[in-house]
Amino acid sequence: MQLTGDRLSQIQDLLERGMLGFVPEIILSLAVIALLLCDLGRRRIRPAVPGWIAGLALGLAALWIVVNFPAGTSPLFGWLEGSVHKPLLVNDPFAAFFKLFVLAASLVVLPMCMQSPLLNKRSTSEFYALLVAASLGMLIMASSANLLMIYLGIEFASMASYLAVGYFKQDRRSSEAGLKYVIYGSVASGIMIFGLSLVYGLTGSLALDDLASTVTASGMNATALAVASILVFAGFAYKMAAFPMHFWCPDVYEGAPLPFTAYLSVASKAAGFAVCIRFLMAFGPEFRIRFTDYAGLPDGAGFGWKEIIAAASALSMSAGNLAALKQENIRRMLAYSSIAHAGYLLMGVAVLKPDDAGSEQFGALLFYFIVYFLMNLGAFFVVHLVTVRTGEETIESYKGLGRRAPFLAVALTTCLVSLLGIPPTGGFIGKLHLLSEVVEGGLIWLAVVAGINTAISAYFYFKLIKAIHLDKAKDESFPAVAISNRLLVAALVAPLLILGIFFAPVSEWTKGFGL
Amino acid sequence: MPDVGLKAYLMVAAALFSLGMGVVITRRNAIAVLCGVELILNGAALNFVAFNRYSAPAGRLDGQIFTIFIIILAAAEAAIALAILLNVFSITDSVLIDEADSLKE
Repeated sequence: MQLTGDRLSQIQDLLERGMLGFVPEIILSLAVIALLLCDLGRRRIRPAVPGWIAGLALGLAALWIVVNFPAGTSPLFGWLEGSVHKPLLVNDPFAAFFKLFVLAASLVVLPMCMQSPLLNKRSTSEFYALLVAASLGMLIMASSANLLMIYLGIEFASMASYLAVGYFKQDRRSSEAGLKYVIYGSVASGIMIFGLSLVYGLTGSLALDDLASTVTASGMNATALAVASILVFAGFAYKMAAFPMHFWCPDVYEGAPLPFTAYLSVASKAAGFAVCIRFLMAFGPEFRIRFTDYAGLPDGAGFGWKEIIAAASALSMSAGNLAALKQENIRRMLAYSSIAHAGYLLMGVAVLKPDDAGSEQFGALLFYFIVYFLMNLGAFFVVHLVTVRTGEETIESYKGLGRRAPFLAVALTTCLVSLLGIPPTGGFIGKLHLLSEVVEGGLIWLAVVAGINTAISAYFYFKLIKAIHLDKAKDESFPAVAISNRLLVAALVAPLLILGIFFAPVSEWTKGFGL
Repeated sequence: MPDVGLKAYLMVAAALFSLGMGVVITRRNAIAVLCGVELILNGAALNFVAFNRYSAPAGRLDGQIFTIFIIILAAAEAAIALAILLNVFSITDSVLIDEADSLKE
């Protein structure tokens, strides 16, 4: 094929614009290389250096996104079909929101990594390289507009995560968690890739833009497409830790290095949601399997994404909350609580309308993401500070924390109350917004299930709160917490309380980041 | 050689996928499970190549390129999985998945 001058300059323009939009990812890639080179030198570098390099790169990437915040949708890379640009990645407010979310989560996790005594025993720059690489994969997930990029982003993030989870080589629990994560992950991604191959075969294109037009094309086998997309959803559900791909979650959260557990529970989940939402919205409103095509069932009987997601949502929250009831290990309890929260968040996904061009429908969902970020990272930060000092992870060891470390106890209580979703915390407002969207979207039964689940979850959240404030500890001593750590915890918990009262500006603000 | 058509390829791919899932579900040995995953991935790769050959617009190689990525990532994933498995083996002296049970409620 001959390239004429006009076409060539078009392609050059495409590449140039692509590289400009890709700067945050390039910064992170350079940081990964720099971190890997850190270990090669003959002299040992100081243990804090890799952490600062990672922090600098993550901060710079976040700053770049904030400064060049995309006003509209700008396609990156890809190819031209005639004059239509089929992008591999897109840079839009939705992607920028989730990119900032992932970068912020990694920045919060960094100080936890730098304080973790186990991580600092030997050279740690590899661990930071894995953390930054996982973030890089998640940035790609958040902005992928092509089936290939979805696959590459998920695999990139997963592979870095497998290694980080099994990072403590001598520790049996960490290694086993890594093994379970990698086996679960490779099966889930295998199922997803088989689904993607069928989607490609049915639609004839890898571009998400083409999905909506081909879904409704005559002769499209809706049942085959439904099977294919449910297979793909299995891969997303694994990243989100949602039913039915949630079984890895408690074991991995318990065995992984604690800072990475916190990271997985927030960043990995959010990236999974971002890619899932983009994929679902690409199907357009017409995607529905009608039973009328088969056994002569009544007109209108059938299901679409709404029903599939709603079912996954109800089962996730029930499975998470019921299993959390009998947990004695705080990390396992928070793992099941994060499965339940995947359910609450899916509830918001179920009522998204692909035909609705307005981005306002995303407001409640994205608001809940912000609240989830604060409360889950806040809880894990306190758990990290306590674990570093006591070496214990059982709920038993939190007895009397209210007297031993009042500041941490109050912070953890606030996070737990917010996770449960009662006022005056951001968790309550977030859940209220979500539930009102769900009721408006016509899924009243799902709102009822969520209400029942909130009541169930009160048991295990309050069990921990009771242990903290009412029970007596055997040993009243508790090593002091540095002022810098107190400030970090306060920076996560204070907004949670503020969002419980002055939520209007933020909930208005989040409406601008929809697709 | 006569052309067997798209359907034959899809049936082989589906068979590979099902065999892979069967292996993953039934085997206790972690290495066997990884072999099963490999079968699943190959099923998907065969699908991509076959669809590209029979139903993609002329001149487009999307499916073929996707297959190359699947092969590369499958190798990377196997390397990571075996590294972690080796680690577990050196601690527990076992590659059986149900003996990795120190994480339980």
